[in-house]
Amino acid sequence: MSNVSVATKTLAGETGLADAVAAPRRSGQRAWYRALFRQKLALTGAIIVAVFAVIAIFGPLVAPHGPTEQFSSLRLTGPTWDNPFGMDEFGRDILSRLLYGARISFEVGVIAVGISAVVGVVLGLIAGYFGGWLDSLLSLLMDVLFAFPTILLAIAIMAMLGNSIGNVMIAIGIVNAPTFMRVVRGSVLSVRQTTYIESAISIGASTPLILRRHVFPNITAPLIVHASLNFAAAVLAEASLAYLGLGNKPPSPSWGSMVSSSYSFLQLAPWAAVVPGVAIGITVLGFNLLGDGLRDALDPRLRSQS
Amino acid sequence: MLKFIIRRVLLMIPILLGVSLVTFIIVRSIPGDPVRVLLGADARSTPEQIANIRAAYGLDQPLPVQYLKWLQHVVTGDLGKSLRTGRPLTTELQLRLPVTAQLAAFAAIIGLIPAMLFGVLAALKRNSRLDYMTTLTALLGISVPNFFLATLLVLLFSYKLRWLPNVGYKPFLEDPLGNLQLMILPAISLGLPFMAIIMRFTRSAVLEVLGQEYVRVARAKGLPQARVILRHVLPNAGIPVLTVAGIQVAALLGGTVIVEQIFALPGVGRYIYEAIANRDYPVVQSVTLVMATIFVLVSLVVDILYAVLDPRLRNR
Repeated sequence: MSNVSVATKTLAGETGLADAVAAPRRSGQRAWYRALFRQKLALTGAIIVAVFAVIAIFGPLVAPHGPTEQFSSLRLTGPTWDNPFGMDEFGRDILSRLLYGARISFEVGVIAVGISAVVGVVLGLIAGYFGGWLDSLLSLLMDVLFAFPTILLAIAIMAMLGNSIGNVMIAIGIVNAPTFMRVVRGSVLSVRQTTYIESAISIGASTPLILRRHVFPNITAPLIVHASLNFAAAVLAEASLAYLGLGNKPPSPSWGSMVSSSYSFLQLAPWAAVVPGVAIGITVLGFNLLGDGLRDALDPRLRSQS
Repeated sequence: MLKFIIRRVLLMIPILLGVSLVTFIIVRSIPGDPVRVLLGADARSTPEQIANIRAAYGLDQPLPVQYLKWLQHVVTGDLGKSLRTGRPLTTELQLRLPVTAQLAAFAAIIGLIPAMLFGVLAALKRNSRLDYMTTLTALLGISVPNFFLATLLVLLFSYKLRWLPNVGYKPFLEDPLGNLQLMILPAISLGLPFMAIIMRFTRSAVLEVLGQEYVRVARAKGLPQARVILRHVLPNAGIPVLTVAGIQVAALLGGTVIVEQIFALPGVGRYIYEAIANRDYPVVQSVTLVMATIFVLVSLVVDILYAVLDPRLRNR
């Protein structure tokens, strides 16, 4: 009798867990909630990214003031009806600077991710498809670049190229390229094993044609996911470099340099640092959410774990 | 096992050589004459004097020779001297490495403990409120830049609550409490993004293991829940988590460059940032190499631990 009750108890205690993991039937509802939650997060991400893109493109057109226009009598004044995010230490309207700054983040993000993607895809395709010593060499190069802390490598490249916004894009593009290469190389390795590649080779298709027509289209899903997540990393990197005074020096309205130049006035005017900081956080979050959502949608293998 | 370790150590050599070469090339491509920087802007030196200084630092030799000489010195433990202060780098690093090491270790502890705890709990209580909270916290953690986190922490704990100082450094051995008070905010700024990444990863690693056949077998043969988790789930989930934590060490080291700058900590990160601004070639070259070497050594340790934990990998 007591044995039975112990067994029942153990079973009851464990069903929740066992169900959630293995048997989909009884936890179906909870799994469904989870899926809904994930979809909501992905949707939130997509909305944030869309709003960010619209602000980046049209923001400067609707900004009430110029990004460096100074109203010295309004220095460090708090949020008001006219200046909803307050004024900074030079009496510049933080809302206007934020709108102009979005364009900087967006441009750096697009071009840096573009550079990383092109370099990473080309090298990843070569390494993954041809293998051999070429793969060993490229993989070694990748390992070498991974050994440097990203931000440190970016700072060093900036020092080498010179301090300009264009070089920020190049520096971030270079330091993030190995991550693209790793993603592409891994995907190519698995695509290369498939029968359709074998048949393409056997009917005599040229290698560039196979790479273009058969390999590349089959690695776009992980590539899109990685590009979205990498956009988040690029925006963060740009903000960090700007924070250190690289690329976007004051009075440039880059969000990162807005946080750093307001740091000395943190006690007097916390909004001047908090507003651009929150803007960076929300933007990066948006791309991370979108990337996760795209992964759920495009990569069914990962769906069960998320 | 020994064979595995030896092979793994040998594999480090080409990577470290590559790192040294890339560092050398980048540093030597930085525009600006280090001798001019050394002499200062208003120095009225004759070309002869400049040539002498150049020769004294070996800057007049061909680049490949300079590279090999530098490498030769580094291998024998001589990292060179700062152009600016003339102090040997080994002395400088003896002072600065402990600061950065303490900061990074502190940040790693602050990050790892909650990350593993909540990552495992979230996976075990999948789709519970705790799980949702963990997911959201992790997402926020990977999205907020460390310098903004530092700004918010200073605003709250130094300015509003006035609990903690916002700048400065005291060595631990001289004033342990003061040291911890000064280190806690930088460590949290550095540790939270680290925590977020590990937390996300722990959760999915545990979930993956929970879905494995051997866990079902363990349950089917009647093992108590706690034993299934401790004996079968955690060790297997721990291996990939360890790898990610090892890789993230590079991010922690990189983060010190920014965090030490904000909190004015006299560590390696701040040193290298200043050296780049000053075109202090030997410092940038050697310190970057040291940082990359630390990372490569950490990955070596991780790989060896990996083989200890997972016998299948020893023979690969």
